[in-house]
Amino acid sequence: MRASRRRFLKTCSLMSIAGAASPFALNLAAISAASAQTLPGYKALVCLFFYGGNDHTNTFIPYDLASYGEYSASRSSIAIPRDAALAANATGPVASQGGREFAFNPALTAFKTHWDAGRLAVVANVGPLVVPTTKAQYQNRSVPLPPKLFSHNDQQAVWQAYRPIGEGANIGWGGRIGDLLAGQNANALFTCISAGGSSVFLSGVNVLQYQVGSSGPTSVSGISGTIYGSGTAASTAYRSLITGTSPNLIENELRVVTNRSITANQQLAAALPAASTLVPAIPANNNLASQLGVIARIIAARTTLGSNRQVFLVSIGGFDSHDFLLTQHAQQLTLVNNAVDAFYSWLVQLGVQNDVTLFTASDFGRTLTSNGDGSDHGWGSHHFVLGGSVVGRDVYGFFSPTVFGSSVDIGQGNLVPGIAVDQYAATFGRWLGVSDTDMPLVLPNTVNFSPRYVSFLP
Amino acid sequence: MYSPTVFNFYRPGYVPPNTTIATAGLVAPELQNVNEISVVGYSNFMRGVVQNGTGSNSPADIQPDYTAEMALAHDANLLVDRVSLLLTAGSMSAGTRSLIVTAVNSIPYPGSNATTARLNRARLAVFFTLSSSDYLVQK
Repeated sequence: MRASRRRFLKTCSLMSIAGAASPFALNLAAISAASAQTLPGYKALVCLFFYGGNDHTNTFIPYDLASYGEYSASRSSIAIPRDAALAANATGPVASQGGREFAFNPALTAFKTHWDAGRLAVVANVGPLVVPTTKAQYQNRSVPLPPKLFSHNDQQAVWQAYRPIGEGANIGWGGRIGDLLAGQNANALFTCISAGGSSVFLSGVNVLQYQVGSSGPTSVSGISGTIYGSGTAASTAYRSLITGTSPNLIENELRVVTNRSITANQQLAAALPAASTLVPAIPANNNLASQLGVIARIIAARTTLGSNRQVFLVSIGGFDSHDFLLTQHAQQLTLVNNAVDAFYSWLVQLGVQNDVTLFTASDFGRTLTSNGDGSDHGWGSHHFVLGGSVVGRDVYGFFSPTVFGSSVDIGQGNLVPGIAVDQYAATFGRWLGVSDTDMPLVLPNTVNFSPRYVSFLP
Repeated sequence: MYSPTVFNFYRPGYVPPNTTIATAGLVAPELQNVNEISVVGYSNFMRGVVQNGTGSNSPADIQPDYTAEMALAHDANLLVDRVSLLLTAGSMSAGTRSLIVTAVNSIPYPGSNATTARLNRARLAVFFTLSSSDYLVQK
């Protein structure tokens, strides 16, 4: 199947956003020259994606008596009790939200610790938008909206893509940041690395999404030693067999991926410190922690690998809580809490806690209303940003009252986002080193939003 | 299969980024589940299956039967011809064939035990063929 029509449309739409007078390819050439200057020090972003749509309402909970009362009345049977565990995770009055108080889900004890230490920020009601959008504009469909809201695979792609084009997007804003900054690295392959599976997020126009297993580099056993009692000639032949080239495009690509895998594994295996060097030990039975462990080891090897700017993805599923919300959500957040807390300790161990910023993302938020045992697909959601450079201990954006019929409630307590993914993303891009001029190449719709950045990172 | 979502892998418009396929203006949905981890996992997994079979018990429930291949295994060319017929419909490229023959011949025949040598040669021819893009890409 030829994609020429699709490509044509894509190119047209890119040009219309980047400015018809400046074709996309020319812009790319211009920025690669601009990005050629070396950026000082090491910096990395880690995107933690909650697959399934995180129930934000039970993740960061209104806590002062009046706010909790609204929350409790709206959520009924799926409200988290205002008990000692919630009290222990309470923020105290937040000036930017009119002195309201909030509390982290009882499972997120470490998040409260990082909040208290001033390195964790909460970004309220962030989600995909094309332009700033009010409740009335959404209801009247008087502004362009992201496609296929409330749909899992579309909204995952919308969150991760360089602009909201839904299912089928193949370029992500993490990958576009990588396109601009890969020149900072001795080995461009180690610019965008996923330990959390394949994603749109880390695919660039030029950079590849390099995938690494949660247990670290794995080698092809057949390329060394003997196989079924063979001589070593067999393992030499095996490597040639699975690499090399082919005139068939798909065969060729399979071999290219295999060759890249072997080469990268050898480089990583030589450069990465053992998992056992991480303190504390990688939490057991926690795949997210294993993913973050590999990322920490890759960060530890940054000098050997010649890496100066990196974008990582880790992910955890199990957030589509239509039922069993109270029990299942607590289980997943416990895994998140333990994994993220260990990761921050490893960053401190490596001395890079100010150079690495972790942020959360998810398909969408969920309904405020209870379906009896859970919540359903929503839109805007609250997210977390953690790192030594984060201006923490604050809630950014507007945390709307947790009531039905609020100024941002578009039905069932679903939120029309107050902060666009583009603003959230641009803030990370700027911190990593993307210039204001280049930002529309990462996020074409960034020009629609003012201010372009949120102030949780410089 | 570790599909990332309940909607599976195969987006019809998937273009693997930064490849000759993308340059040619083509799509390749079947490459959406090919990555640096999957190719390693496949190779190492098949190596074990070819030797030990597959299944949840020990020994594995499903055992390979190489009787017919072992009968030809004294001659690498005859052996590879048969495996090529069974697994690639006889379409194995000359380059692949040559590499597999070389590898098979690196197992001495008859060696210290002719039956073991025949078995190992049969396993090796099958494992190599299962690893080749000749087998993996249906044309």
